[in-house]
Parts: sequence; C-alpha cells; structure tokens
Amino acid sequence: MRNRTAASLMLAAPLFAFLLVFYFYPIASFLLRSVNTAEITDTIPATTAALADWNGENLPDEAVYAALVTDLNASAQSAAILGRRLNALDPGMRTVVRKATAAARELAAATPAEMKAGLIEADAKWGSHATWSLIRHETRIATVTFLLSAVDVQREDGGLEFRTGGEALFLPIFLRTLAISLTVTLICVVVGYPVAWVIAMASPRTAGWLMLMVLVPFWLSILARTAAWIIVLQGNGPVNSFLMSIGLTDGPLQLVYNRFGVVLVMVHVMLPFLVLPLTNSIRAIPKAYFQAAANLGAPPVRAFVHVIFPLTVPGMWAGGFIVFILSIGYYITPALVGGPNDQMISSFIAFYTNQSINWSLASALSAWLLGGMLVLVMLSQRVVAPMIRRVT
Amino acid sequence: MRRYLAMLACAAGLIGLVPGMASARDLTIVAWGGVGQEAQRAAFFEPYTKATGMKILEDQNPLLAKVRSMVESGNVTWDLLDQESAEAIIGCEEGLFEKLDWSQIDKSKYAEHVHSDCGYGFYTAGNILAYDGDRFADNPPASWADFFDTAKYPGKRGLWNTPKGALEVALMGDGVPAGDVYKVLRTPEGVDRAFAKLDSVKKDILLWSSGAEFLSRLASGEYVMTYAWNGRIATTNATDKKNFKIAWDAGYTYVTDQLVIVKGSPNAAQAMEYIKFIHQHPELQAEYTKRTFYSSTSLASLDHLSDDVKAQLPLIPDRLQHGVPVDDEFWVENLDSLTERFNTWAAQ
Repeated sequence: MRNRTAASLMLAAPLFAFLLVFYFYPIASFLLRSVNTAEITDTIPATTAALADWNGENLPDEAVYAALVTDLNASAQSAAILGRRLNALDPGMRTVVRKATAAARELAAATPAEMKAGLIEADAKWGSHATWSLIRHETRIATVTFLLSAVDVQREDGGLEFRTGGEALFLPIFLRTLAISLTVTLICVVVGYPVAWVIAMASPRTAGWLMLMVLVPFWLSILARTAAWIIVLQGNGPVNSFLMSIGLTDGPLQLVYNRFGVVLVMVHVMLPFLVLPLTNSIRAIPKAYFQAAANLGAPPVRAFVHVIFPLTVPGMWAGGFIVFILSIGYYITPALVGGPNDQMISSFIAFYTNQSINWSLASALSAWLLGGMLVLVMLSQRVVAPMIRRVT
Repeated sequence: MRRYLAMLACAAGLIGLVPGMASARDLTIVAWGGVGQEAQRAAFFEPYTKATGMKILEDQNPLLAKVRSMVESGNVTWDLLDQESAEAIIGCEEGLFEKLDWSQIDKSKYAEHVHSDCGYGFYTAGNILAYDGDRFADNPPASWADFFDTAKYPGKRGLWNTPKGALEVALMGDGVPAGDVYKVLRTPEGVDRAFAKLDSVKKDILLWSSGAEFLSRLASGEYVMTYAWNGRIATTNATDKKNFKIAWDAGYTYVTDQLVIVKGSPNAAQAMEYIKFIHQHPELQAEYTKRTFYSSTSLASLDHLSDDVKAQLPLIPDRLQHGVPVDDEFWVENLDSLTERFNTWAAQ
C-alpha cells in the first residue's frame, strides 16, 4: 500500500514541480515585493548602514550625510531608483533626491560638515527629521508601508491614520469591487436558475440545443462580446434607437460607460459559469423524488420548495461562488464599458504594475485581494459547505 | 527516476540556452501598434532592410514596466523602443536605456529640444481638441473654454485617462494662455485650479485609454468633442472618409516620441546604425509624416511634403504660437503624485 502511495506521488511529482516553479514561486516572489526593502537598501548601502546607529531623535550625524553623498555619487541610476521609491511614499521626494544628487556631485571632496550643510542647502527636506525617519523606516528588513497604504492607512507624525473623505482611494475601490461582484452573482443566480432548470428538465435533444446556446457565447472571446455590447448599448445604438422609436424616451439613455453597463455585461459573461454546474446538480436529482413528493400529496409548488430546491442549493452555491470569485478579480469588462468610478481593484493593480511602476503597491493590493479571496474560500469550505450539507 | 533527472537536465539546458539564443536574434523594434507602427514599417523598417540586408523583428506596447523587468532579469529581448519624451528621460535616469553616442549624429538640422540623453526624437504629435465637423456645421467649438461649456455643447467629452494633458487643457479652458500653462501648473494653486475646472464638468467627462477608443466614440457620436492626438484624427479622415476637425487655435500641447536603446541590448550597435540611417534620410521621415500626420523632427523633411500635408502638422511656423511643448521636467517630477490625485478624483 505504501509503495502504491509513493508511486502515485512520483507520478504527480512533475505536476507539483510545475506548480511550484511556475505558479507558487512567481506569486510568492511578487507578493514579497510589498514588504521588501531591498530595492532601497541596495541603492544606498552606506547610508543604510550609517542610519542603523542613528538614535532617531535629533537630525542624523554628519556621517550619515557623508554616506548619502557617497551613495548618490556611486551610481546615478541608484539615485533615480531611490527617488522613485521615496516619491511613492511621499510625493515630491523625487525632486528632493534629484537636487541632492546634483549637490552630491559638487560635494564629493567636501568635509562631512560641509556635506550636511550642502545637502540641506540643496533642499530643506534634508534638514527635516521626517525625511530621515522615512528613510530609516524604509531601510529596515521589511516594511508594511505599502500594505497599509493599500488600505488607505498612512503614517502621520509617528502614528497611523486612515485617509479620510476625498483622500481615501483603495478602501472605497475594494468595497466597490465587492459590491459589483455580489450584484453580478445575485443577478446570475436569479437569471440563471430558470435557464438551468429548463435545460435540466428538457428532452435530451432540446437540452442539447439549449446548452449550445449557453456555450457558444462562452466560447467567444470576452473582448469581442464586450465590444459587441458597447455597440448595442451606445447612444445611437439599436437599443436606444428602439426605445426612442416607440416613444419610451426622448433622448438616448446612458446604458454604457456606467455601472449599469458593467453589471449587465459581466452578468452575460459570467452566466455560463453558473448555469453549467447548476444544470448538472438539477439533473442529478432522481426523478423518483418528484413522484414521491406528488404521491405524498404535495402540490408542485410545495414539492419544489421543500424537496427539489434544497437539493439544488449545493449546485447553486458552487456556481454562484465561481461567479463571485471570478468577478472579484475581473478587469477587462469594467475597463471597457465602465466609467472611471466603475473600475475594480484589478485595474489599479494593472495600473501600478504597468504604468506607474510602483510594484510594491501593486503587490500590496494583490496581497490583500488574494488574502481576502482565501478567507472567502475557507469560509465557504468550513462554514457554508457543512451548513448546506445539513440542509440537504 | 533517472528519466525525470534526464528531463530536468534537458529543461535546465534549454533555459540556459535562451540568453545565447537571444544574442543571435535580429534587431527588435517595439512601437505602439496601429497606424503609427504600420507607417514606421513602410517608411523605415522596409527601406532599412532593403538598404542594409538587416532584418527587423517587431513587437508592440513598449511599456516601461516591461523594460524594467527585462533589464532587471537580464533577459533583454527588445532592442529599440519608441517612448514619449518623459518616459525616455525617466528610463534614462533609472539606467534602463543606453546613453546615445551623440558624436555620431549631427543635431544641427533638427528642431530644438526634441532629443534627450538616451532618446533620439523622431516625430512630434499634437494633443488637440477634436470634434465631428458634420455635427457642428454652424457653431463649431473653437476653444478649450467651449470644451468646458456644457450649456452650449451638451454631451460627453473625452479626455485621456491620465493627468498629463487633462490638467493642461483644464487651465487653457479656464483662460490661461497656452504659453503660461506650466508656469501656473507649477504652483499648488494652479493644480487646484485645474482640478476645480475638471470638477465643473465631471459628470460629462468620459475618459479614454486608447486612440481607438476616442476615434470610435467620436464616430458614434458618443463624444461631442475630445482631447485627441492629431495624427489619429487626420488619418481617420483620410482612410474612413470622416469629417473630423481639429481646433488648432484653441491651443494645444505637443510631445516628441524618441527612439531609445534598451540597456544591455545585444544589438545596441546595430540599433545605433538604424538611428543613423533614419537620421540621414529626411525623405523617409517625410514618408512617415505623410502616413501619420505627425511632424518629423527633421526640418529637411519639410521639403518633401505637399502644402496639403503641411497644413495638418503640429510643428508648422504659423501654428506654433498656439502650441506649447509638453514640459517633460514638470511631468518627470510630478507625474506620480498628480496621477494619484487624478485617479482618486476620477474614481469618486
């Protein structure tokens, strides 16, 4: 027996190796960027070492300033990376670092005291305690700054503070992502249930055709389907023309580039993910149950509510859960048919990855998203699944 | 087990081979796709291959992020990229691009301020106010103030989904002359003023993220007017028989795209030869201009163009009084913080 297990493990080994190398390793190494400070410690190694001795109370010693001048002169490229990284934490620091880089070139042969004075003269921020505590904080082994700012928490005078009102960016977007996903899931269940029911109850021939109608859009490219919806829903598109021709509205309705469009198109894209598992679970209910319920005197509605419906709950839950999880990470549809206030969290991850190149923040947002998903999956497995089992 | 080990060794060997293979590839040039890339192919790539026998590989979307991961991982598969000037400067400072050997290039026959340390400026695009001429025969929008006047011109207006451009036109719409835009924008009050102007029409603004997007929305009537790139407007008029108009006199910004060589490119020397080739052939630059309606940086190329084409370019003398070059220094320093503010503004 043990040999068998070992053999099957051996057979699965390439799969494990594949997952490890091409799935878990890249994900882990990207997620680590959210707490990693190597980017900054590698660019200013001498300053990092010198700052370790700083008591953190007054301004750092002249030795720290001298170390910074050495670091900045060592590589212009490092200085640029330092500027970008600090700028992500405190807007304006790119300029401060640039001024220091220019000054450092002049100060290469100066005394430490002159270096300190020179840097502060280049930009007053070098004479500010806040600048240095920021740098010291970001040169420790790990930083939680990005994980915090991904949920709108920032450091203010040593304490932590939520960004409020008009300043908050990510929390509202996480909430919006959750709200859109829930809406889409609920609509999918309401719309998809009857479809699944009809397919499951139909004769094999009819069911085949109906299934094909669900699957054909499923096989089409999401991009093509989304673009088609834009054409159908736009201001002078067929839907608006029809509504105006029958006199229902005077002017064109805004059906696309808003929340309505996003939800509508996402429901269309996600529907097959609900219908397929649900159809299977309805099909799996033995026909004898219907007859048994009828024989015991239950009218059709009662038989459905008390006998059949509970049996379809696992299928509905599975389908709904797939739709919900897929929706949460959704990117392309909101990007194309949504306005700026319909964008979901993944579009911000893409933005910080590709456009702003703030990979630490992108990684922090991903970490929260992934963590949230894992919690949801676990809740579904541990809490909801046993509940469903008890009900059925 | 031995077989697995052998397979593993094979795989390792293959991975080891990749960098070796990379150095043997052809010169790979990366542009932004669409009309611009087709025009580069016809105007530059094909003549270059014909003249030198060197083949050129193409790719699309040279995002700075991708360059950075290539340079960091040491697996450089791109050689020559098309970057906007601000990105060319940022990438240059961060060591993602090679410094160009300017001793090999005579800058004297070129417009000023189009090159940077790492970037050879090769065309200039205008960021302009565009509208459908068929829609506004009687009272066309003529200024950025009209762009922000939703009473006079009801409907959605398009802006690029980035503060770069949006803030400039907001100030022009608020009465700041094109030449003073960056002076105002450099003050905190100026930035607030620009955002306040954007706020005043927020519900009528629909941001776009690509040239294709503003073109299709302009054609479908979704946009009454939009901030756009002049070349896309002019080429669509030429190929799709549209009557899109550009309000040049409203004021516009212009930006130069530069060719940069990726740091550590095994074909760096050949990439430099390609730049020199373009540099020595103003007639090819004129060909590129004819196909894109973007201004070549080579003044000599103007001799090869008809008046009809010249009338549609951003860099012609009697138009320049309305135009202002995008201030790269300003955006290199402020892009990150203003983008965050812009995103927060747009997301609410």
